Amino acid sequence: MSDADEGAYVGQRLARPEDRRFIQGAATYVDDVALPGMVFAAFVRSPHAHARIKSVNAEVALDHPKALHVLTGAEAVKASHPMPVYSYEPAQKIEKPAYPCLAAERVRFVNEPVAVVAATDRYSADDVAELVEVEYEPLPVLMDPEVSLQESSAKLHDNLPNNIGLHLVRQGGDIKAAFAEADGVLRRRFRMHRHTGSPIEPRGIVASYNVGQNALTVYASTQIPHILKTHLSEILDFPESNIRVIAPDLGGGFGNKLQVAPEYVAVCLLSMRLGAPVKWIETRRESLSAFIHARDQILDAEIAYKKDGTLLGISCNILVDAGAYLDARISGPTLGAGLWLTGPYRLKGYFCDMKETMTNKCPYAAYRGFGSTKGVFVIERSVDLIANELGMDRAEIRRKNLIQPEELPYKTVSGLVYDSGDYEEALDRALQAVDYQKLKAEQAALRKRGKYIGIGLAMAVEGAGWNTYTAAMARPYVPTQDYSTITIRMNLSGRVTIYIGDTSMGTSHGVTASQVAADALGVRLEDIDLVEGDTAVTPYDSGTRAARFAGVVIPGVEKAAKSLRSKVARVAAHILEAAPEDIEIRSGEAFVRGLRSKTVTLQRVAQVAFAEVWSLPPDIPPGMEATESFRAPRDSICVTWPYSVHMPVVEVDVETGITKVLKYVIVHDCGTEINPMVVEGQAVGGSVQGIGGVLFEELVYDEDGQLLTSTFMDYLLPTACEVPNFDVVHMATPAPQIPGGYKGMGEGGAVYSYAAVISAVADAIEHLGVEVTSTPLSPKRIRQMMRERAVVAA
Amino acid sequence: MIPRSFGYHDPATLDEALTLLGEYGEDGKLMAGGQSLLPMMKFRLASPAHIVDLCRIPGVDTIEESNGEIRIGALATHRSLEDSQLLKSRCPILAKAASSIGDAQVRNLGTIGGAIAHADPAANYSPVLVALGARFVVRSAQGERVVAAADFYKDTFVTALRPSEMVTEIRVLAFGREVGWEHAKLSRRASDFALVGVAVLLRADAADVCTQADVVLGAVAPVPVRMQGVEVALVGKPLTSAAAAQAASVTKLGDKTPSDVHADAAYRAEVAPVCVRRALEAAINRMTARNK
Repeated sequence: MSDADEGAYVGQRLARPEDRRFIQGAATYVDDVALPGMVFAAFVRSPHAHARIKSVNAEVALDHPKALHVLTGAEAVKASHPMPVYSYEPAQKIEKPAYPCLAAERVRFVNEPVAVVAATDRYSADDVAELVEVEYEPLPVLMDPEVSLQESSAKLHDNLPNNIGLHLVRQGGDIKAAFAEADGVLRRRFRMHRHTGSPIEPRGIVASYNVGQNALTVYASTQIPHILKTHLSEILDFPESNIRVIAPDLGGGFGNKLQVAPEYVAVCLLSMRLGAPVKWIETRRESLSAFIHARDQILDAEIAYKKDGTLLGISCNILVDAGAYLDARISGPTLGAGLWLTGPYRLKGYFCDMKETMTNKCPYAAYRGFGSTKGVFVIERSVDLIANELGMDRAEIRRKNLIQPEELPYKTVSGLVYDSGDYEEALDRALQAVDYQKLKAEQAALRKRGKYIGIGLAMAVEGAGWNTYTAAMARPYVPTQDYSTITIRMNLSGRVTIYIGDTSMGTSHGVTASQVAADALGVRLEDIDLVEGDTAVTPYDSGTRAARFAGVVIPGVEKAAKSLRSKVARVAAHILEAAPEDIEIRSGEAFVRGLRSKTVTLQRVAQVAFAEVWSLPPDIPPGMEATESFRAPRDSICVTWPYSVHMPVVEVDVETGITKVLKYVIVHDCGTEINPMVVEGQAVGGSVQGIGGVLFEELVYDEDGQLLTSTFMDYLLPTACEVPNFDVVHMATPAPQIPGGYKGMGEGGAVYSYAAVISAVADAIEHLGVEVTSTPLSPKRIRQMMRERAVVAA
Repeated sequence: MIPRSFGYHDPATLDEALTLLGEYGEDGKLMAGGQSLLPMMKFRLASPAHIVDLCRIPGVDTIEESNGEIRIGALATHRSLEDSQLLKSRCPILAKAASSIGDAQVRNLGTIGGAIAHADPAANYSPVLVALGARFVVRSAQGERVVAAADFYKDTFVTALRPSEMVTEIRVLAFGREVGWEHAKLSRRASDFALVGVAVLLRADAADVCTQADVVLGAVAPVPVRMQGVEVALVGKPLTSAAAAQAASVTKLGDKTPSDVHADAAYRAEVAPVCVRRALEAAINRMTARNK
């Protein structure tokens, strides 16, 4: 596009400028960072799921000719504070089990780090690590979260007498009245299995301690450069002003990289001891066994309903298998599951008890969906089962209970405040796009031939942007709100750079921020650059998380761009001898409204502002930059409320249990769309994770706590062959409280898709006499269900 | 994921390679495409002191037919088998088996000789080669011998190869449209190893009565297993889908059926007859298509 006169950039399907470097293999990931004198770290990890460390002997290891240093847990504990943990729930006091960056006394999961070594090259580092001798005394292993709760079970942490890491209770509405009114109550145990985000780029860090400046520079694969800096300062007792975190290009994060990695702390300690840059890039096996696990929850739910299909209330006990330690963000995925149990429906009563139980598994934390994935699974599956019980169509029972546009904003009984939209319209559009009636006829015809396809249906409202996050970091807890602070700067050439303190993780920040800023400023898209992720040059920011970019960061970008625009206008007005309010800026030129002949290029404007300051009146400051903040609305836990209906069609080969997703329809509404192509990419990408999570991916432990799926040969990510084509239907109800009307939407794909794919498989096989209430829906599991059904029938 | 250190050799001739192998014995390991060996080295499950890389040896990757026998050089890649016009017309089951190994990157590098020598029980080729009655030319610095596929596979990752020997050639009899055939891989994802692999070759007389049946399963035991019961049930019967179903129901797995996270022995036992039935049906359909 050559002229912004022709139309705004916002709303256009524009290719991403950042694609060039990603597609050409020219991106810079942490592993591409090489500093002079850099050495390499490798971790010594526990082979036991639970054991006392009797001794650590590094003598032989240090004799290795390439060995530089061995840092043990005992030394690391003296040199650092434990890893942080905080609660998202204001009332919640959280017991903090000691979580050292390297285990000193006890190990609590297989591959927990117990020491870190440095060597002159990466290969030798592994050889040196192999030579560190650790003597263990094995302890009883807890692999079942329900067993952990038993009084007789071993205790994993001295300060957690019941192995309960966190216990939250929430209620809303009148749960007793809701159940008293009920004609029926559906009681089910739902279970979602353990799996995770598994970003293709694993964790990685280059920590470089400069002795002369007493400064620590950290290149890290992270979604939260500023927050990582704050935590490193606390954990290392090191001035925050002397820490610089740089998050280069990120090869996937999916919430996993909200982690403040214990390994990152250990590598920083190593660099501070050696006074040299230290690089650590984790292996896939480390990533799958010792990074972040997610999803694993047992949800015992009771849903009260009337015989006409009216839903009344939900009560649920959630048990989270939190693994060996409480990650900083542990309470988020737990609370999210509890909050999202009410779906897009009118309910009268709500009760939820959430417990996080310690087991000898890899710690559990955030993964795209942040808990809501489980809540949505439970309510959507329950609605289907109630519909089956009442002989109602799944679409019709939803229609009956959906919150209507005129009821919005609507506060759910769980406490969410949905802002805007038309959920029933979205449902209708999905049914139409998938051709529901025709598909149902086709399904019936195929069944007669022994071929089983299922039509999935799931819908939900996603919370984009979490106000609680920054609150959780404050001590003591203070209610807070999310915000963004953006700096935008024009340089002497008239080009513009936007500075944002988060990092793009495939979330297309470059193109979307540029589209909004270009419109607000009146410059060409190609004249805008984005700098992210470097804490030394960007304003403080809570990072790339919770789908907050469109709803929280973009309004900040727009505000800063407008602020810069008014500075440009003042200088241009001076040059053109006109009033600032008469200045228009388009396509990189300023002119007097209605007088296109009186024009000055922004390059000339910038030259005056930077280099010919003497010519400006004294009240115009030199330079060309603006910094503005946007504070998110805070009447709910989340900031904006996009929603979606997902309808996949899945074929189940009942003889082998093999599933195939045949087609997939998505109807979604994320308010004003900045770039529909980016929106589709996010919706589809998240849905592929749902297909993977339900049908393929599984972290399997044996009874001794050994992980059996620690490579991508066994941990099955869906590939292009397993993924169908997607039809995406767009709706756009502007967010009422956000300037521009944008709503975030990055998480939702991985929320709705789970419930939808589960629903599709259920629809394909439930008429055969099985009931689907747990995942994964792997071939083995589907066959097992079919077998068990045969036994029951016999 | 970081291998231990090793010596690296890239001989220019087969004789040179065999001399090195003879010299290093148990400490040496041949590497062709490296698609199985390198991951094992990265996990430190294998730590050979010397790698003898065969990548620079010319002329061992040809696919040719002479006197009704197809000879495949051990260094022929899966991709070259998949794309071979000769195989597609004269031994299509082998081209098809090659086409579903791993993904395109694996097929571009991995070789048939490497796959055979590695002897992964879940690999695609092994049941096909046993069904075809393939023979492997095996060489060492001392000389050459020929081993039948059925005698070659000894156990999981264990073969009849001695430490100084390498497979240099694979020989199979060519066949035409008179044979009904199928290779099928039941797997979780397109690129995964088989949970159950099936190779079927059927011959029939003019009245479509089965005269010979070769039905071999992979991934259900440490070595490929011939389903003799199924074969017996087919021979002498008209090849119909009812006959296929009846014969497939005889499929029986042994007590060495492996269990893993994706398929336990019970699952394999349950789906193997299904895989056999479907493969028989596909083979019968190919054969009947011939008559049209």
